[in-house]
Amino acid sequence: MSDSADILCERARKGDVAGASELVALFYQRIFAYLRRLSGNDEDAADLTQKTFARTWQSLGSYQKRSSFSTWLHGIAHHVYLDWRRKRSVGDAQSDEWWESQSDHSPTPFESTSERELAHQLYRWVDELDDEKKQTVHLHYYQNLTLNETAEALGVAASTVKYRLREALDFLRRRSVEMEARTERRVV
Amino acid sequence: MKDTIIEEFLFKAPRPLAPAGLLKELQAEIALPSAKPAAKTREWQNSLRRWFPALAFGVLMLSCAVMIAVQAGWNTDLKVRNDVLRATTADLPKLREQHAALEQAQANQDELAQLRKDNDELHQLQKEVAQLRNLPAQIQQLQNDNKRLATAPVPNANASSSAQFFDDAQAQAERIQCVNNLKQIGLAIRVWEGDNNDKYPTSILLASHELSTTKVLVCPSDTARQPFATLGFERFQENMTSYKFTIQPDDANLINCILARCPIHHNYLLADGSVQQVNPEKYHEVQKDGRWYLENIQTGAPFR
Repeated sequence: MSDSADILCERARKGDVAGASELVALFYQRIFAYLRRLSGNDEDAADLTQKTFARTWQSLGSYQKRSSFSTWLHGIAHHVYLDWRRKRSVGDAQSDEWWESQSDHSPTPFESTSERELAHQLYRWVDELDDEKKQTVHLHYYQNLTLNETAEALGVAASTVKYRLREALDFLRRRSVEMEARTERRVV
Repeated sequence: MKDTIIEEFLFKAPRPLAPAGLLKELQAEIALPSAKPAAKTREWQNSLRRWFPALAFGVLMLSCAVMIAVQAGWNTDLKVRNDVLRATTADLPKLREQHAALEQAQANQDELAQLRKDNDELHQLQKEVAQLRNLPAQIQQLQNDNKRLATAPVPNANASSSAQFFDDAQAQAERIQCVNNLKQIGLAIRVWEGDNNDKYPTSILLASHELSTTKVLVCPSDTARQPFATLGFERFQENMTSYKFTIQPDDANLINCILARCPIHHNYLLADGSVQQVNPEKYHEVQKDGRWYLENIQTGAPFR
């Protein structure tokens, strides 16, 4: 995918609209999913996706190929989201119903109901993380970027990404322990 | 819950699907910038950026090489100059000897020129001495000539003629001086008239302050009255003047009327201020209406 993306990107840089169309077809689902999880509704996510690609075409001439096209695109999407958040200045946590409705679209559906409920609970806790950690989790886990790619997309060092992920996992583990303790007390 | 399980769940996070028409919208909004010029510029900039360290190093090395070449040239030039100076220094004692000889020759030449000058002066002095030696003989010759001329007889006729000439000149000078005196008297009278209602003075002494000295009232040929010429107006009296005054107050209106006359030279001061030298053999004085006029003896016509 990376090689084909680079070839398409080179074609788009030379002004080939067909190549650019293929690039859009290749990445728009991932970018929309990323922005949808962060923004909280379809309309804003679609709008942010359009802005992301518009900025991509504007900046295509300055693309240095220091990172993969996918990473560079996620970096643009991240900045578009930050600009949007700065204007709105209000968080958009996803509702339980939304996570429930998304289960069908999971690439690897959960085997049991308990697993699905636990996963939804984890996703809600992720939304409770602070912005930096939440976006790091989104890019690394939800978008399947490597540590280095996440670091490049966020414009931080890889060690910072590791630190944020460790903090996020600690937080999620603590919350799960608390939940298990509450469940046991309820059973007793 | 273990971290691995948490991570597994996170990796399995559901992916929301994009709306149906979003892909077409995104593809329709593709606006690619004109890539070629920018790419060319960027390519040129990139190659410049890529080769800049090598270029900078090359330029630095070239500059160093040029500097080394220039300094080598200076070094060679200095060596050549040093050799020339050393060669020059080797001839220095010889040059000093030549210089000393040249100075000696110059001094000899100056001395020779001074001697020539002294010799010329000596010759000049010898000539002057010879001339001075001849002077006593010339003086003696002149003295002899002088004695011979002094002892030679003088003709009498020449002496008489010379004395007569000087006497005539003296008489002529005195006559002219007399005319000048009368002119000054006439001028004084006219000035006095201007200050006194157009009337002439009855006596010349009334207008004395218009005269510079009593000398003008004495004719130079009147030897008897010459002592009065040196008196001041304080002591001068009317009978001390040489001239005979016939002046009257109303004479200012009469042109030919006689104001004063010199009995020695027959010079007449008339009422119009003029002085006339009259030949007594041709004119004589006549009185008309109490005033005196000049008249031709033969024709009786008034003087003009």
